[in-house]
Amino acid sequence: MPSENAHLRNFCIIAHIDHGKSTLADRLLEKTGTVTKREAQAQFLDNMELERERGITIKAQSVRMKYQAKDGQQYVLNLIDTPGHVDFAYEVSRSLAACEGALLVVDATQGVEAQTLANVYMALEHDLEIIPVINKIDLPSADVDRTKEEIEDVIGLDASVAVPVSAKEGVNIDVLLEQIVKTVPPPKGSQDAPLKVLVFDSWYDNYRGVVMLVRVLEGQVALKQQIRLWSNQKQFEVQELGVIAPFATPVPKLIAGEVGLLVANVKELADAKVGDTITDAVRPCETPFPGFKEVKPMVFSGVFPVDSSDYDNLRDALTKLRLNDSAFTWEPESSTALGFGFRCGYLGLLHMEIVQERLEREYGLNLITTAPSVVYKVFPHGGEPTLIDNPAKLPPVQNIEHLEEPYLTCHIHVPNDHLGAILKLCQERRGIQKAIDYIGTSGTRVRVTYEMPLAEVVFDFFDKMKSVSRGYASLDYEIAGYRTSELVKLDILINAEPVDALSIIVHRERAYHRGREVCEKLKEVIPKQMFEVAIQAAIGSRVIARETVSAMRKNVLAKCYGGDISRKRKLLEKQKEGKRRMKQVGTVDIPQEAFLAVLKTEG
Amino acid sequence: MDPLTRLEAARFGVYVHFPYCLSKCPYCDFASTVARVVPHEPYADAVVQELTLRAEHLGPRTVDSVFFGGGTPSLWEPTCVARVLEAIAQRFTLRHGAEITLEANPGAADAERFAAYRAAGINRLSMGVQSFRTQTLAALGRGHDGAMALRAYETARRAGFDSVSLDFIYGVQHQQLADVVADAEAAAALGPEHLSAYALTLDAQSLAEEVPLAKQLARGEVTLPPDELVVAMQRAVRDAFARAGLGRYEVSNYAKPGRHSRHNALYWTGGEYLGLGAGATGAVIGPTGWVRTTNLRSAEKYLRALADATLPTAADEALDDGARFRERLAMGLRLTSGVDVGEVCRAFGQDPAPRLAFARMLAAQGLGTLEGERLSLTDAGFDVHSAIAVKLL
Repeated sequence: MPSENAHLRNFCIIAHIDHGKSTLADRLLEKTGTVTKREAQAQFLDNMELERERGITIKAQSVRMKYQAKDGQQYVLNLIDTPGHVDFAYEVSRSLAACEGALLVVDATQGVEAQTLANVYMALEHDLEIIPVINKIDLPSADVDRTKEEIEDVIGLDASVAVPVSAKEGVNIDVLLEQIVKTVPPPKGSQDAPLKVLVFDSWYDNYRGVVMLVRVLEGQVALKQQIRLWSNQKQFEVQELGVIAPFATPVPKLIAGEVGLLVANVKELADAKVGDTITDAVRPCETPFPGFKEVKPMVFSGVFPVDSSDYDNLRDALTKLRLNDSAFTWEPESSTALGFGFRCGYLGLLHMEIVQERLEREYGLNLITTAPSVVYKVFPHGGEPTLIDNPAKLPPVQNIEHLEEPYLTCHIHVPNDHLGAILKLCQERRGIQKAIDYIGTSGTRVRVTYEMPLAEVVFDFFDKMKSVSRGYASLDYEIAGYRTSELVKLDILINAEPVDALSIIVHRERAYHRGREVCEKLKEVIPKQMFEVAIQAAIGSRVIARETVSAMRKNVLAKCYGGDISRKRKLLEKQKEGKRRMKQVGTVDIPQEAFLAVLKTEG
Repeated sequence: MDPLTRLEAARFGVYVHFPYCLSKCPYCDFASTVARVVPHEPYADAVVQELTLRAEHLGPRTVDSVFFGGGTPSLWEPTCVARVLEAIAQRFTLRHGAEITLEANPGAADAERFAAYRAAGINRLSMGVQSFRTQTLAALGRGHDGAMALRAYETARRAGFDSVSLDFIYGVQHQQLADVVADAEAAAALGPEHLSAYALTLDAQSLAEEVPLAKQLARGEVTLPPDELVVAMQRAVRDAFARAGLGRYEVSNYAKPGRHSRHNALYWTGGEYLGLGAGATGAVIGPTGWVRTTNLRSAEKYLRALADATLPTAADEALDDGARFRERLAMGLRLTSGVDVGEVCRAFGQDPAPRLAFARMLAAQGLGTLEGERLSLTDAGFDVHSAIAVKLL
């Protein structure tokens, strides 16, 4: 083993939300002197404003630390942070692939949370050495022994290497650092072998173009080297190499086992896909790193400017956003109700919310997002099937021979206590049970496998699953393909005018229920207008539900003389400003949230 | 006549505010001060002083109307009222036949005093009757009763006033539809030239200050009739007044043909008005364009400012074309004669097309009528005037 590798340790942190991942990372950075306490902006790793607010990591991060171990040797530790949401499961797997070890953070007062299990299994699949870290031992209710027992019983890990710490108080961080050096194996891979580099994250930088976060698996990469990306066979010259410690620092080369930044004149993020392999253009490796997947959007929604004059600004914003998020797609769309906008594709609902928030916050746009839809396969009578990601585009029912919708194979890890609730939920979501497996020896953990329509999973399944299992159930899934379904288009009519942007595709058996719910929800969110507003749900020409927003009864200032005019005008101006956040459809003012009303109805 | 609204209205008027009252009415948001001893002369001195200061900036004007409001201006010595009117006539040109109104409290009406006001040049009385019913008057905290109101009206007539207006309030706590009908019919039976009937307004956003009744409403000590009933009351009032030959010409105002208030019409037709007195508001074309000026609300501070020969301004607001446009449109829509939407838009450089499209929709919904480009609201439209105005601005 080349000596350069022997002092390298690459690891990540797996933790349940709130169990203290970011705090622990901060302590490691401080203890190794990578950042001073003063520099340490609380929670150094999550540097995007949105991430910090939501307490989640969207993009992977990595920090290099130097550590002087008790054996007198200096080690280089690379902490690779991973995204923490089911929408980003593939990105997580690529980050894990860049590591040899993982810290599993368990809250000593809460015990093992099921959500972390999926990531633990993923880490085990990547042959990572796992060090349990029992955190929050400073709290009076901390129970280290019970937590250790749980780690052994529930996960089946050896808890003898577990390190009890308090990330908040900085207790035992040195012990943990020693444990990392001792337990996490140094990376394998020869620096003399042909170059093989895993891209585990990439983003667009306004000045440098695409920046890739990479793990060198074999060989070495140096400045000016001609490299090739495996998936598209495009060739680039390495212009910049660096490590993050904790600020980007240039290096002349990266060798097998190292983690760092690579800039190579790549202009489009789509050319530097997460999971792709980089090799040498002249002396390529024989096979790429396995597991590469093209990440494709699974959910689509319309995004429209409330003020139609913002259309160009929105297009510019989407273009910029796309530079930095290749999983996100967009194309122009037009709606009878909402005018010109864009059809956008996302990995999942969280991704959709993040994109929407960034557009509104970073670009100051006032937007309407329509209910998300999956991609349906439409089989016309005697014709080729077409794919449809927009309910408004569904052809008339008489032209359709049948419809297919995408299904997922879902694996849910859940404690036995909550199994019933989870089975019921899956059943309600049109799931087809495939397997129920008990995990470990205790008989308390179950892995449930269902095939479920993507449309049912994508909306609020994840939240519902968490809520019925009190947070204990975890989900991972893979695409299972298209299945024939009894689907119908549910149209919403406002004052007898169909509003295309409110149409949804639903299963026939659920159509009445959904129609009623959507009408009720719309009634709640549409404010009283000058006249009565009728809200109807219809399948074809058949109305299946109706609600009425009664007309506003009285809204007039009785006494309006010389001293009242300015006050009244300002009040009207203020109300006018409030109206700007609504979209006028026909004669009715509809608030932005109405277009997502269908999302909030699943009861 | 204002061509945009087709309403005969003063083009320049003077509003004189007299803030003193015998007691404070719990719904009133005008500047008012309860005073045992009213400083008649000093207040007249101050108003004349203010007039002098403001007239200098304005230059020559012909005054079409004067309005003494309050407070309780009928508490003011007629000699003081006369002095102020003389001063106005001196600083400006008082048009022959100008409408000169004084607000009078029915609780303090005597024949001699009314005759003296008339002699001073007042030619129109506006009496704050509010109701003839004891329960309603009590709920409004008024010091008079129905009999006093009737006597006051007779006194005004005997004093020779041939233009009398009476103010009413409906939508008061415990008030039933029948009570409102009785009030409206009793008022109409007297045969006044002009009637105002206001739905009681207590919401904070609409008022110049938080009034005691609003606080009681917020605490749940007072409840008002539901909107549905208040709207029915408006219709009943309208019908009773119409039967007596008084037609609705503004949201809350009714008059015999040709007898609408020229001064108040000025506010709804974008006329110029000079405001004098504590808390008074004026809007005039100054050297830099339209400015709306509001005076100090405190009578004491007002007097002190003028004793120092300084302007008693609390706030100046420059009115740009956009603000003027929105006011003309919103105020014009308060009139049954409506407003020429196309003309107003063109006068202020705004696009008439979307507004006219909206006006057509209103017409289709029965909320307005459209004659050419002139939009007038129907009774149903007046009920939601604010919502309509928001959409048209």
